[in-house]
Amino acid sequence: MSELRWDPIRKDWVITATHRQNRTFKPPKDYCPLCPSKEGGFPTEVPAADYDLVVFENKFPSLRKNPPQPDVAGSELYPVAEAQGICEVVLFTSKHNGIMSQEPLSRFHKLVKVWRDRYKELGEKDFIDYVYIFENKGEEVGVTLEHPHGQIYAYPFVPPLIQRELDASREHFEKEGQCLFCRVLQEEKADGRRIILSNDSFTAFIPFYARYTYEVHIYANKHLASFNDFTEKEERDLAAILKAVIMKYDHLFNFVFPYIMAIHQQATNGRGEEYSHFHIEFYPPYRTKDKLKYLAGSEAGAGTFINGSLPEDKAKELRNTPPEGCDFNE
Amino acid sequence: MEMNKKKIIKDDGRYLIYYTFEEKVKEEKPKQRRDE
Repeated sequence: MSELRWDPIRKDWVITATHRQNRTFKPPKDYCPLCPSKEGGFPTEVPAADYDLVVFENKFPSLRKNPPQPDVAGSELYPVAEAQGICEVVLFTSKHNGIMSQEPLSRFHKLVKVWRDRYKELGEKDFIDYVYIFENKGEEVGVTLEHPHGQIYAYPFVPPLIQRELDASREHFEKEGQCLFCRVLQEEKADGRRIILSNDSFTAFIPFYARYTYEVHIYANKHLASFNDFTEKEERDLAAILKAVIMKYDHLFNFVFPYIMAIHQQATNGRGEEYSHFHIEFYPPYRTKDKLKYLAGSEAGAGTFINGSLPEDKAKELRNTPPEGCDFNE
Repeated sequence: MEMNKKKIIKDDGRYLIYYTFEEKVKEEKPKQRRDE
């Protein structure tokens, strides 16, 4: 069963997806569904002896191309809708124990190319308004399969957090004639204390208003609304800064640093090119080497985050963590 | 880097895409030999 239920109080959709309760949960290594299929072994999601990068439709999707009718009847107060959309899984490598920070730059470049392809192809479908590319990494953020992978949710609407960002940027654009994200980047560069590293096309920083201790954002230096605006150089530069940020994370406490990674860009409904700005946000759950940040009363119940650290201090810490730059000469 | 993709439909009707990549070969101008 899967449907969209409207919350009239918060004014957003909730997806019910009861079949997801049965999804594969932390299988032993020999039964990983994301590994290549071995001869004589159990059939995994990928019917091949090896692969480079793979994308497939999620077996337990929250949204489907051809969704079933809602299981409940809606009302004027409680509208319901079909959970139409597409959910994909992106396999970053065929290596079950692969550690992305140790992968060559070329793997990141390939991944950026695949993300661009998925954004374009899924975004062209008339029932898709937003292509959301993300990665949940680590048991601490609820990952059920440890094989390196990310996901894509192609929604039939613009999700509320992203809509809120776009609304703020549109308002700023209408008032000041400038994209709000471009303005934020100007402010961060002018101050400089929260910048971690940069290259020709991108800048990584912990924003002034960070909610998580090690919350890094990567912004396109020039106004790129989405992956559709990228050049080959911008692909390579994004790959390089991504690798550098993930290496810094893994070097910080000498373990593979978990995080949620969210790619925000222009909605694929064709609106907002002038005020949408490609960027990536990382939300790592660790606030110290051995303490986690939980979304508790103020965050979960009131929506106000409490950050127990100063972004200026944490940016300096990450700046001083290797690597120093993102010129990998590969 | 050039990307190629091959889409297959699995037994249960879901698609799967294999992505492969080739490095672009840079065309180099032939070097002039010193004895020419």
